[in-house]
Amino acid sequence: MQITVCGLRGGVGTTSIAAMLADALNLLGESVLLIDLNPSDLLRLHFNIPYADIHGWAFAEAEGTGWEQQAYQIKENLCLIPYGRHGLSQLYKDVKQPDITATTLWKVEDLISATDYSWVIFDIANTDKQYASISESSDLNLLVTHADMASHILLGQHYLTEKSKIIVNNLNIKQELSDAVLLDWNMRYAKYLIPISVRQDLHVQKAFAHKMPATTYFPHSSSARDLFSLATWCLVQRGVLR
Amino acid sequence: MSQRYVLPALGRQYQEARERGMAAVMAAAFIFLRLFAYTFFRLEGRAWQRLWHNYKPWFNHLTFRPYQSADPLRYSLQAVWLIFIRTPAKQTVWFIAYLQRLGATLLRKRSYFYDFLAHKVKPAIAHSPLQRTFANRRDLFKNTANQQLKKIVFFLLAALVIFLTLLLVTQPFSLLAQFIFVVLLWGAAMLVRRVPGRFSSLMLIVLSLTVSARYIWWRYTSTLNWNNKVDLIFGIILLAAETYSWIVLVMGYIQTAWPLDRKVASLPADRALWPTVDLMIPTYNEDLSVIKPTVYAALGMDWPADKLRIHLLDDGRRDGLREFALQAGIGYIARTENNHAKAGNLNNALKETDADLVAIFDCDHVPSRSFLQLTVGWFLRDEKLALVQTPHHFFSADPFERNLGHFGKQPNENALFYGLIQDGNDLWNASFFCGSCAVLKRSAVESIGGFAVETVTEDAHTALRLHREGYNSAYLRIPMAAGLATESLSAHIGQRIRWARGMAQIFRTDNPLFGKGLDVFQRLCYVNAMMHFLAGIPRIIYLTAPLAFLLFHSYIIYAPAIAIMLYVLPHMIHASLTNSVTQGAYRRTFWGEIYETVLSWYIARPTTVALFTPNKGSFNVTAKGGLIEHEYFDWKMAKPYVFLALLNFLGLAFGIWRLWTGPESEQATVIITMLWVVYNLIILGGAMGVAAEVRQIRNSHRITTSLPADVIDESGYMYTGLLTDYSDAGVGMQLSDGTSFKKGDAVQLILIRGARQFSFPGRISRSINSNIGIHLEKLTKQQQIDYVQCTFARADAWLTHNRDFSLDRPMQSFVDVVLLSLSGYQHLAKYLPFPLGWLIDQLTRMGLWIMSFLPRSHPVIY
Repeated sequence: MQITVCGLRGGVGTTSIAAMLADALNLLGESVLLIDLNPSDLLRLHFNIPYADIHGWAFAEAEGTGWEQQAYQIKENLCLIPYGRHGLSQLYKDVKQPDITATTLWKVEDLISATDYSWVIFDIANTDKQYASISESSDLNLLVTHADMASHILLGQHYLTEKSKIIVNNLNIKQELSDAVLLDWNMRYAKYLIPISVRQDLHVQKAFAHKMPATTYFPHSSSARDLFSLATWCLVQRGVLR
Repeated sequence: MSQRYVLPALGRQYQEARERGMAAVMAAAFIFLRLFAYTFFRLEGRAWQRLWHNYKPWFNHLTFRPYQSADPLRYSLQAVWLIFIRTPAKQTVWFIAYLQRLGATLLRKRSYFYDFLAHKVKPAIAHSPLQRTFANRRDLFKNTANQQLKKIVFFLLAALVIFLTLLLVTQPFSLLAQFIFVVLLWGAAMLVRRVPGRFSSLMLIVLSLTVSARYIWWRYTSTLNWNNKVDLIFGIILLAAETYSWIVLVMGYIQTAWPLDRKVASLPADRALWPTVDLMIPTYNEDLSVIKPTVYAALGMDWPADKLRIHLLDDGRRDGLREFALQAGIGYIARTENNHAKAGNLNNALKETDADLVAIFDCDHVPSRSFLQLTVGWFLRDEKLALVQTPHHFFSADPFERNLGHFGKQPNENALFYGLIQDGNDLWNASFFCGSCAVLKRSAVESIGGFAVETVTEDAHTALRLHREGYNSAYLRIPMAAGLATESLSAHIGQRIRWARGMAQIFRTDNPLFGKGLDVFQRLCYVNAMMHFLAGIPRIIYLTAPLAFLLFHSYIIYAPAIAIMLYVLPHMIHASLTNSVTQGAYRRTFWGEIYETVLSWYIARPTTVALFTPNKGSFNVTAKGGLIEHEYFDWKMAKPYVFLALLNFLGLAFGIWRLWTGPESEQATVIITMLWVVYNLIILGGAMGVAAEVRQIRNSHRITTSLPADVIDESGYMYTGLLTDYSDAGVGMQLSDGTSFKKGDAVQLILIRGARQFSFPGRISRSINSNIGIHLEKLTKQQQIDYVQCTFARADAWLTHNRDFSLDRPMQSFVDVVLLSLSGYQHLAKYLPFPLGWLIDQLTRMGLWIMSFLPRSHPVIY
């Protein structure tokens, strides 16, 4: 299974969802390869990789050393390929932009068959066309949103495909507006809306401060529980798709 | 060298024994016995360990408590029981299972026979309640008896069966012949008892009917002493009581032979076809806190909003309620007078509303959201349907359950009626209205002139009139509303007195045996429902009848002791066996006796009075939702039973005297009568056990459950957990990990309803390990509605209420009743003056001590 996790807009928690989903699937006994396509290069920090470590596929591409050497084994059956410190650091200003549009480089099917991972999860920064081919070749495109007005409007403007699945992150149950928005989406996007929402929970932030996904660090927190539900839902989708 | 190991080991064992609560001497004896056993057996060996591992559960009642001096005997008895009785019994079960498998393979091979059993054995009506023919049973009879030939065969067979039955019942047997006969029948009953399916219960019913009919025939023809007037009078009184019980037994068999087990009828996809509903909540003087949850639950009912109108029918004309109704956005209907109590209140509301259907909920019955969707379908399927009734479920313990401590473990007093009798009635199109948790068709109710106002049980009377008009009724055995049970024994008895009086009134003023419109089975079901409440006097007769012989030496059953045994015992054994199979899931064997005994004294007078002057009597509202602050013995309630028990004790003393001095030929009769007295004493003790009111700790009743829930602390961390219980004031939760909440912390409770989640502000009221209690605080009106709908009004809220019920085992049930009875006498002993109280206390102690030697045939689970 190949999944893209993509934010509807910035700051909706796409990276945490990708990290926790990969971790939850792994804890449920699946083998997962997690690939960061977000130039912010934050995903690695969910898995206790030192901040100073600048390695990653984009970095390697820029250096011309090949991305194949850039995978980190987080634990058994869970691997991560970070983006690499590229384009952000002053030191590496002179490194040329990697030809990201040439995603054929990835040849994802080859990647999966070569590595034998049952799940490959891409963390994608935004809905840029840049990674369209990856989205197309994926089985599911998770679209991370908040249940708020901005997302409501953006979602209306967004083109949803058969594979698009909307996941609400950071749901604040105390807010009537979120509840109303969600009720509306339940009708409007019934086909696309995942029946699980990830609820607002400070545990996610705290776990990130500890450089761990909440699913491992606070397995009994509500957000972790939601992510396990989401992972289970993904497992079911795999069954449905096959 | 060995000393170095042995002594500390002994010391350890001694410590362990002391920790299990044994006194020093007892602990030493315990260790000594152990050593003694080790000297002769290799108890640490594999074989012994395996044996112990396999049979440990059967010794739980001994190993889980401190060692006592007589324990070796108890262990031995239990072991003997396991070896000689339990294991062979198990093998019989295997043998029966083997026979069943064999039967099943045979059936598979002979498909026609299988088809016959599966389809032809059922009564025609039970075929499919979904068929339209069911709507009008008169058509059904026409359909089934269509063909002339079928008709002739049917009547011929019926004539043959009646002839054979008469022969079997009236044929006088010698004692030996009777003995062989009852042993054969008993053997047959024991064989079919464990066969699953309805065939076995029908078979048992036939066997029981045979034995009981023979018994009653024998009683009438050969046990009355016509030569002695006193004997005759006592004898006829007892026989009348027995005849009553016999009729109730037979009618009960007919009533419950084939519970219909009606399924939900689906609604059409097009909502425009769904009927409009007036949901009425009649109230008189109940507190607003009782009414609120009901209204909030009704507001969340799954039904098109434009087709559901909720009305509060306030007979108390309270301004507070009017305001509350206005705020909640529901209708408020009050009238100027209070004529005819609840029935009048409903009739008044009928005039002011106009929806197709009327749903009625007592103000303390919280409906679940699915109620209308599950019940209304039948109205669309059957045009003549006037009523769909659902069970009354109670989430608090009734006085019986509370005082006996078996809430949630055993079926309660109501369970028999709502679990079996109404379902059985439904087969005969005779299930009746119970005043609440029901939907009625407005046009039908209006066609009979509204709800019946002549009696104090307007519900049953209304249903009777509907049936007379040719309307149908339906019963759906899914608990979809729950309420508070009566708070105290006296209130409970008061409610039953009202029902009993009302039923007696209907019996007199509108007797279902006569009048138009009913078919024979409907008449029978109604009569049985009313007869049930006349049980008071017969029960008192049973409790005193043996005294006629012991005290006055009157031969009430004029027959030799051995004959009495050969006729009475089979009659009783077959009746209990059959009832255990047909009703075991809804009422434990022997518990019915206790329920009936407790009520008997109190309903005897009102029913008799109502039978003679049916127009007297007023409607009293059942008090609910109270708190019993002190544990106390309801002396006033128990008085008649104490009196009857003392009489029976006196009878026992007379019996001993008669054994001592009387002629030898009479001894067997004396012993049998004394056994009867002992049985009476057991039942009376049980009744007194119920009268000891246990203190109620909580004001709001907690409902145990198991639902996902979350809690958010003040800083925004959210924890998952399990909702373990809820009440209208707060919840109990078990958190997934040991997060430490402090008492008094402000939190948000998150509950889930369908796809939505709701948060409720609260404060931690207790926190022990990962178990926390949350007291809800300052909920807004909307939050209160949401809270009720996330908890009490869930569609599945009451579906699993019988999950923890254990199986009915007649012998176990009897032991329970005896234990209850002993505890009843212990309670009584505290209130009696010195020598009497002390004596009874010592006697019950002895009784309990003797009972403690009984081996257990099933492992005790702690």
